[in-house]
Amino acid sequence: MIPGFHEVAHERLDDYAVLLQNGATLEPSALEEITAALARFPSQLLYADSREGGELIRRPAFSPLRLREQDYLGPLRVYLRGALDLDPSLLTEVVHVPRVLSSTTATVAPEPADPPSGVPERRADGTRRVRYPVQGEPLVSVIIPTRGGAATIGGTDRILVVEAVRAIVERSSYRAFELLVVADDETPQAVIDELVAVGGDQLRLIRWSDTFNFSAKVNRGAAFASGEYLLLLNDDVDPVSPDWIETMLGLAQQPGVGMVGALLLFEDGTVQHGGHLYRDSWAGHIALGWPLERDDRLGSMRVTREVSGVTAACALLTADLFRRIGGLSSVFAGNYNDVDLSLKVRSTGASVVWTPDARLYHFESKTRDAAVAPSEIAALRQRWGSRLLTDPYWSD
Amino acid sequence: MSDDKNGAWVGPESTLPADELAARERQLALVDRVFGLEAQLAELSAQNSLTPSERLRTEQRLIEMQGSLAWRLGRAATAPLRVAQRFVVRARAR
Repeated sequence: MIPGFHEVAHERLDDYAVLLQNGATLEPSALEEITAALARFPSQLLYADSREGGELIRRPAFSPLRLREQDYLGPLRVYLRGALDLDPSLLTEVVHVPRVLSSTTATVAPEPADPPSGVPERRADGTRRVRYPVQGEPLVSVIIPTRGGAATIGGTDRILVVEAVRAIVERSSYRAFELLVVADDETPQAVIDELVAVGGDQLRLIRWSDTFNFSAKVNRGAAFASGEYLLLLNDDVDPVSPDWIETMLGLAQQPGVGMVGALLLFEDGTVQHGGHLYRDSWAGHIALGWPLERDDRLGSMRVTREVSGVTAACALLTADLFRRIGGLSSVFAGNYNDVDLSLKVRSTGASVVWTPDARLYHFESKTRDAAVAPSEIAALRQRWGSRLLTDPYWSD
Repeated sequence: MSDDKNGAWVGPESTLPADELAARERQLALVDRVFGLEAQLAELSAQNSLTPSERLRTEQRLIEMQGSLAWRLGRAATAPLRVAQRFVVRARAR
């Protein structure tokens, strides 16, 4: 039995244990709805939305890595009796009912079980982090498409790609990487010269002479990559956490994980990317523009969690998976290529994971108004229309 | 190092034989095309490609939408049209 929970007696769910947090109440129709859901989708575990102090708390679809850092299941959980003693993060048949089936004044989240892999520790803000040590020392191919653009950051003019490469070379604690910079023909010679000086032996320069196509440029880099892992990276980023590569790599090595994204911040420290959000036939960023300390009711910005997708501004996956799903689709020359990539990854059965523990600045303009070609929107909806209607991992 | 006459950069460039590079890129494009077609096919039977939680969530969104004021006002506003359409269908069937 989970501490702080009791079993609710019922007649029609012989094989299941209905566990309710002490002090919580079931909605009048809860047992009927649970019975109906389990009749349609026999599962090892069922959980649902709830009301806490009168406020609706929506919960995400099953997120096993998140569950290792944060028990988000709420005050009601229905276990198949044979699964009651198992680590819930290892269950394979779990269903979330997106309806309020219980109420409580305050949810008391049990401490997650010790993870089957990884080392649990406390973050500075008191939340739990599971650190996954990197297995071996696989080569990571960092692919950076660029045209050698400059910007003023913090009052200082900088060549974006040069500073990105410098930051990776000088400040990343993981050392087994190669840098594949795919540079337009028009890239200024001075930028190339500086890249060669800064990148040293780890730099490989690749020419791009065709018309602009972000996806094709990344695929060009991947064609040259020697690494077991590919790290797709924009040229206007600057890593904050020295261990950002091993944090992402450790997660990518977990069973079932396909691609890993990072917390990206605007220059002013507000959030640029907290994972992708797909809803109402539209794709955007979770927490866009939020102050770093802002969060949702569940505390989603403080934990590693499954998401619908991540931005290709910083995304890590195996080279094998990248090739098996056809890389970035050149159908999406400028926009939504990462949405398509994420959905391709998930269509293989693998998950996409976002972590707040790999943190980078992304010097994209807050007011960026990407010119989206109608053909890109049409192609995205044609491929993934039903996947863009509701987001299983984000409910606000 | 200096700019060449076309303005393109020069430097220690990584290269592959043109046919090998083309083959690698073409393979990615072909696999992507297959994925795209499979995704479109799955869209035609979307109900089967959604997980149980996604199906329940989609159904719940539909219930919430049909319970919304905007939906009910829209239904009320278009009620005369639906009645008229029923008459037309019946009249054509005779």
